[in-house]
Amino acid sequence: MRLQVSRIFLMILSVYVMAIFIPRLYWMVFDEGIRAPFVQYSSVIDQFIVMDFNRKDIYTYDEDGNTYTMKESDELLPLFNYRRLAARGIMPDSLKGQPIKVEEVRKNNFYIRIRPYNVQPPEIRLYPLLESKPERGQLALPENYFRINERMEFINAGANVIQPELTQSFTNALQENGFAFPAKTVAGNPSTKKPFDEGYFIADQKDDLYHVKMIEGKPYVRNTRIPDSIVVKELFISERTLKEFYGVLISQNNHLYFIMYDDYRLQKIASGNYNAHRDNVLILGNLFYRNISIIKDDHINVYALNRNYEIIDSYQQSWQTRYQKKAGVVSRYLFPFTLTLQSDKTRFVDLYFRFNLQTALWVNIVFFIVLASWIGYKYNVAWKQMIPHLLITLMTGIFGFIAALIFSEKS
Amino acid sequence: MIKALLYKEWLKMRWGVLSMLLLFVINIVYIILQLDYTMRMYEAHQIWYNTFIRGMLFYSGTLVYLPFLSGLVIAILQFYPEVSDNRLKLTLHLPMTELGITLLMIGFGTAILILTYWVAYALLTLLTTIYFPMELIFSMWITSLPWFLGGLMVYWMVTAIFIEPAWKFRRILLIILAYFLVQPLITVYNYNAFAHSLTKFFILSLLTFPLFFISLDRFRKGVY
Amino acid sequence: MDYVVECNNLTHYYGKRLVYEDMSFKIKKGSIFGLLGKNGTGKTTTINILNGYLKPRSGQCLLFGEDSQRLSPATKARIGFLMEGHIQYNFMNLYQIEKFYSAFFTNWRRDAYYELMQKLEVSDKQKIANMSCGQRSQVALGLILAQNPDLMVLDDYSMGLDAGYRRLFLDYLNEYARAENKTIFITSHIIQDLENFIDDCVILDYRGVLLASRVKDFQDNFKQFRFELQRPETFKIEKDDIVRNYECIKNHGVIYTFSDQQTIEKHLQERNIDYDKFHQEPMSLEEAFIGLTGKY
Repeated sequence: MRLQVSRIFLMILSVYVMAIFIPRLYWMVFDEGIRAPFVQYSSVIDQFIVMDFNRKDIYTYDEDGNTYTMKESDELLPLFNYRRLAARGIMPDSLKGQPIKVEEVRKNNFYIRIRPYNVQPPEIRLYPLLESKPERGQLALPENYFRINERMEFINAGANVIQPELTQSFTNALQENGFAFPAKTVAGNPSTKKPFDEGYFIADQKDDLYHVKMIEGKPYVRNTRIPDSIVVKELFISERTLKEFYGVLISQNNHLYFIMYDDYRLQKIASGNYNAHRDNVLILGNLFYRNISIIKDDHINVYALNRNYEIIDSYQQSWQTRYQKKAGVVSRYLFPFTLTLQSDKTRFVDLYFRFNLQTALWVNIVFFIVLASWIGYKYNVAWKQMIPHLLITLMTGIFGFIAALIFSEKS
Repeated sequence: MIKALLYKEWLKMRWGVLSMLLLFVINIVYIILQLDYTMRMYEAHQIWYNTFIRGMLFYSGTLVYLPFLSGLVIAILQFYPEVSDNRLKLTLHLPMTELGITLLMIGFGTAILILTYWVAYALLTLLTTIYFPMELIFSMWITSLPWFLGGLMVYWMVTAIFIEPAWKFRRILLIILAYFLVQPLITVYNYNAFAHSLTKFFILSLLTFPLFFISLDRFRKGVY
Repeated sequence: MDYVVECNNLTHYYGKRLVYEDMSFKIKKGSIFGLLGKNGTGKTTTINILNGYLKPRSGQCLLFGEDSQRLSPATKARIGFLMEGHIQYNFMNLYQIEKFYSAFFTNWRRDAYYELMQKLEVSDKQKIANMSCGQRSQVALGLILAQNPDLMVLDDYSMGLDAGYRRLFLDYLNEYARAENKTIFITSHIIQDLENFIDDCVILDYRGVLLASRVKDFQDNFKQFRFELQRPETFKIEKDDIVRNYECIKNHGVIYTFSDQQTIEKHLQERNIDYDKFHQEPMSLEEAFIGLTGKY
């Protein structure tokens, strides 16, 4: 009994190792590498420009099927490429009948990329709160870090002790504004490489969102009064001179919002069937448009919005994932499941399974029959002791088969 | 009888255990001295920034491999003398059940290993609390636990490898298996990487504990 | 219970190589049993089966009536085991190893151990690893005597020992066994020492069991006939039930047999072998052993 259980454990461990490393080797040999296209709405021809990176030379085309060289495509996206065009001296003076100033272009351009592993990543929940109005005008990293448990505690880094004054004043300020301790989500942009500081956006136990910053050592706390229907999943704050929005809010139901400067209004932005834990989002902004790409494993949805956030055009393109290509189809028959410890969707190590049980079933049965015949043929392999090996082979196919062969028991 | 058996195990491993403890202490003191130094040279809050925001792991480095090394060393010290000249036959001939004997030996080794780890953890925790709040301590535990889990796994795998009587094929297979099992655990990822999966990997490690039963059975049957 | 050890129909193979087939023997309480054979004939294999470290292809061994594959701790306590090469825990010193073993055996005789150790001119603090082969054998012997087991299983006690230590070893054993009616199972490839020591024996060959008998019967019944040959080239005989072994060195012929002189002479005459000066020559146990098993 004890022995039989140990043998099953040995099989499980072997299957575990093989389910990780054999598919890894397989893909090392057969993976082709698929990159999603880069799609942007052209303010020159008023349609989407698609750059396909899966070709040897970057290959650009528009929705009508016209192809462009790199140089030509730069000119179709003058706002995105303004530096390059200005350097070549071909930056247009006006677009859409409006005169264009480089300064304005720069101010209105932004680029936000949210990868699935940025959403609820591993974090140490201590945050530096910058002084928003620094005496000498330059943002500096503070000596105090805060945590929000039953109060907002500031800890001095040098001494590693709580700062009672700051703790008291900020806790009071939060309490006065109705903050329900402790915090659920704390998000800021703790960096000195930004034009100014907007502090932190903090979701409390009642799912209210608070804006907290420090001005001349004093707390500045505002309840943003977001609608009750919107519950924060993740926030990405970044200060921009444009001062149109504080950052991006992803709600629990995977909608995307900008937290606007006009009284913390949440501006919903088109997000299709976005899933924060699986998909990449790319938000590009310029003088005329907001260009939102929701990039999934096998397709991309792109929305062009005007400055009032109304959809003016959209684009979709799909491609074969590696599991739809030849090597991937074979892998789905060969491996009843595969296992990875890391994922491009998260920074957490875990057992990430990918099951192909249905497709691999027949191959499993073949392995099972081969193993059974082998046991029958070998005079010195113990039948009874191999029953678990056989069952595991039936379930785990190639992995169990190899494990059973190398760890067979002689009678 | 139990005391005598543990006495024998202790005789074999005592210098190894003390050396590993010493190595842990030296390494941890070095880590803390280096931390203290950088905190004085740069500002403490800058180090906090690097640690919390940028994800610097001031405690990774040699510490990643020390638990692995101690598991390996204790297993070797305990079982090399047993399998060289087949001394295990003497041990199994002692008037106790074979299961009792082997469980005591491996249980004792495991206990000593865990005790060593515990001392290391206690020291590291104690010294780190001077410089960092509990959030970092918790994060440090979660981040470093897989390394220690890897150490236990190595210990259990290596005992099974030693008791295994067939040198050529089976032992090599077990060594390969041990490598692939342990390698992901003693890899440095970002902090808190195992926060959601420690239990799973702990269970996986436990699966390696009874592997010595198979080796013992093969030893008893005289597989060659 | 009359028999301390009963081995029935042991058959073992290493892979496809047969070690022996259907080996059976019994060891009476109070007797000394020798398993004799040249190196590689399966002596240690038998010891391993006896101690439960090897599962025979078929057959079984009973020790004190218990299957050797599943010995209870109580039975193990009654068996003293000397490993081939006097292997002991060589990371311990003389003091530590006594302290260790004494905890396991209720009848432990501390004096017996230290009496023997005093004769070795080594300190208590000396590790066994740093001792000579002879000294190590004394430690192993001291431990086994102190354990005071009912059955001693001694695997090739003579390995690596010079004549003096071999003698010493057997003297102690002899005294112990005769005085307390203990049973000893001993294997060796050095036969001369065992003469007048063992009561029963099994002799193994590369092909299996050659002989199982009382030593006295073996020595009485196994004979060596020597003769001179006129024409050595005519000395063409084969081993069979009558001629157990033969030799021809120049013009001297030797035949080893359990049969009497008449039978052998008739056997030679039937084969037209001319011989002269036919006579029986007495043999020591070792000579008889070599006679039976051959020199190669």
